[in-house]
Amino acid sequence: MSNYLTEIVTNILLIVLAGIIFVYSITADVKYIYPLTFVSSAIIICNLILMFPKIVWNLKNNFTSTEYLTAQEKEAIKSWKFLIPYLVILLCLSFVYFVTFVGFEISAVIFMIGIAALIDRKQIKRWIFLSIIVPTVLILVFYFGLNLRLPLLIAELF
Amino acid sequence: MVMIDSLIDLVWSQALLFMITGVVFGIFLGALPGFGATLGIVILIPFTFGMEATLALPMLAGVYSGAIYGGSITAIMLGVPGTSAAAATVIDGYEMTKKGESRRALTTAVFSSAAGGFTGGLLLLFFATALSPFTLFFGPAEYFMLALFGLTVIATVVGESVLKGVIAALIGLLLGIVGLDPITGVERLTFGSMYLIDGVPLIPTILALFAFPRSLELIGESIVARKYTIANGKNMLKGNPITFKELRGIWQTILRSSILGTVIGMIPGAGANIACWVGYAEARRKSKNPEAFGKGAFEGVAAAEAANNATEGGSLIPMLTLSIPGSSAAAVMFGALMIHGMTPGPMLFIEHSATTYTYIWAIILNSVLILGIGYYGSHIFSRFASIPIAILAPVMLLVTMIGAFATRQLTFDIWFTVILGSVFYFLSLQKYPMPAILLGFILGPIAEKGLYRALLISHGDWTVFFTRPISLIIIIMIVISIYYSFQIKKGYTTNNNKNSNS
Repeated sequence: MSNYLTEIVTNILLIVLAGIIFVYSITADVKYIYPLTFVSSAIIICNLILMFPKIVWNLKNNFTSTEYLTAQEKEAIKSWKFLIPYLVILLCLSFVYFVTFVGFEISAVIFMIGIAALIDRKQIKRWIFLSIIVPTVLILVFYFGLNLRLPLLIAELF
Repeated sequence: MVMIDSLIDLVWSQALLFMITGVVFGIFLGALPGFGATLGIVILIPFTFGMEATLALPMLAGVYSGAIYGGSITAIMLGVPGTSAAAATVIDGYEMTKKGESRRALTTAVFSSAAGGFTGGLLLLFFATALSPFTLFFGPAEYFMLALFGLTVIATVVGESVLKGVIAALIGLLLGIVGLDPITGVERLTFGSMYLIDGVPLIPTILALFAFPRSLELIGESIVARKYTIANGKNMLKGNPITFKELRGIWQTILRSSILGTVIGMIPGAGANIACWVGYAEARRKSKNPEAFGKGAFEGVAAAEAANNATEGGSLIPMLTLSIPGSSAAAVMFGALMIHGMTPGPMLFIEHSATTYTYIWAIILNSVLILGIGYYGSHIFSRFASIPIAILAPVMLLVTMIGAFATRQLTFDIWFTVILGSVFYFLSLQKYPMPAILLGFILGPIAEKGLYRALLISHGDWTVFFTRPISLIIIIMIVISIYYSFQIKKGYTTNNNKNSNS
């Protein structure tokens, strides 16, 4: 996806989000929420101003611009590696989901192995060792040292 | 006499050891994204229950000072402000690190932090009673104008596109609106969640703004640019420390920011978060070389750090004399004083004069300790920057999620951080300035409350903002600030064009 497309998609998403808030603010029973009306309408206007020159410029150039992508970026797009940060977001969401069921210690180890596997698969064995050590140190520091009540499975069991 | 006795007692007792412990603990927590001064004091308060007030309070003061300074270490080395007070330090500090001048950036931060803390402490000591009545003149109209003044700073901190900066600030304002209406109590954008009734939580939002997108960016960089460590080379502390000559060249900036920081710190609600931006913007406006700001100007680091560290002393002036805490950390300190049987207010200097002066001296001496510990030890705190990204990024993400959990101990806050952080990551990829979102988020509620209350008091008369002298002064400052921001921008564009033509 080119920079142009991502920027247009972002502008449209922001307009849609602000539009929903704008409609909510003007249809709500209580009219004391006018800051919402002001802020949401300002977001819509600013995004429209930002979006239109881009569309006009690309129409003039017949959508042929490839937009300053580096060779490394083009290679990353071809190999789908650019999706890895988004996979990490999915890993984060899974971590939060599982932390209440299997505890911080297990979910953190799996989370770290998962990210290390995504970043550096060749040295995965080395990262497995560190993926056990790091959460252990964090538990020692925060749970025992700083008295932070992390959701630990060990604490639940004993 | 009590004042001098308190100083001697502090220096020649074990309190000094407790202060060192507090400063080290504060720097450590400040350097961890999301663990700032407030949380540091909160965590340490239970450990001080059994202690004497003359030992406990200096230690807590050490955490306060250390944490504000500590935030600059990760801001400079990683581009992630450890605390929101260090958000302005990122702009030039991280640029200096990228240029291989991390040692210069860190030593600039140490000296200016110490100078800012020292100045703020001295002003607290000598002018507490003289300056505190000044804050009484600040009504809702002045708060509104002050917040508006802060928002104009956005024009100077945004990168390439002013519109993107404005959109970012509006997103921040939108986040600041969430929660109960300050006057009517009507729920706004809470979606029926009890966790959002008090508004969007500050710490998870800061983590979502800076730590979370930065971790994902690191992962992205490691894959696309094949970078395996956060910076090239093993020795992260690069370049030479700041020289005495260079320091002498920016003494005016440090002094101005320190005084600005102290004054802003005195104003309730306007703490180090605002002071760092105001100090930075003022330094940029006064600088002979404003176009260097944002590209690694050590003067920018000095201005932001002196201002945010000076707020500690400033925020304690109304707290100790008028029982009005100037910041969230000062509010926690208010509680700590109460635990030790001291009620802040006009009677404090009469009933507990010795302990109060011990506490104030501790704030001043902590600046000296920061100078020593920070100068020789900041590179130790920053060492983890040379850890491979495969370790650093997941650890940062884990610490971010723990940090989000820490304040209220709710899993909801981790969900909130991850979801909001993902949105901010997407926005940061398209160069939407994250500090502008934070600024809008912090200043929005202050502006809204000020506007509502000012109009309520004046029965809807808008001239209230122009007829009150302080409010009028701030309006003039806003106009000047906007004018100079555009001048700076214009000068910057002209210079760029000249460079590209040549």
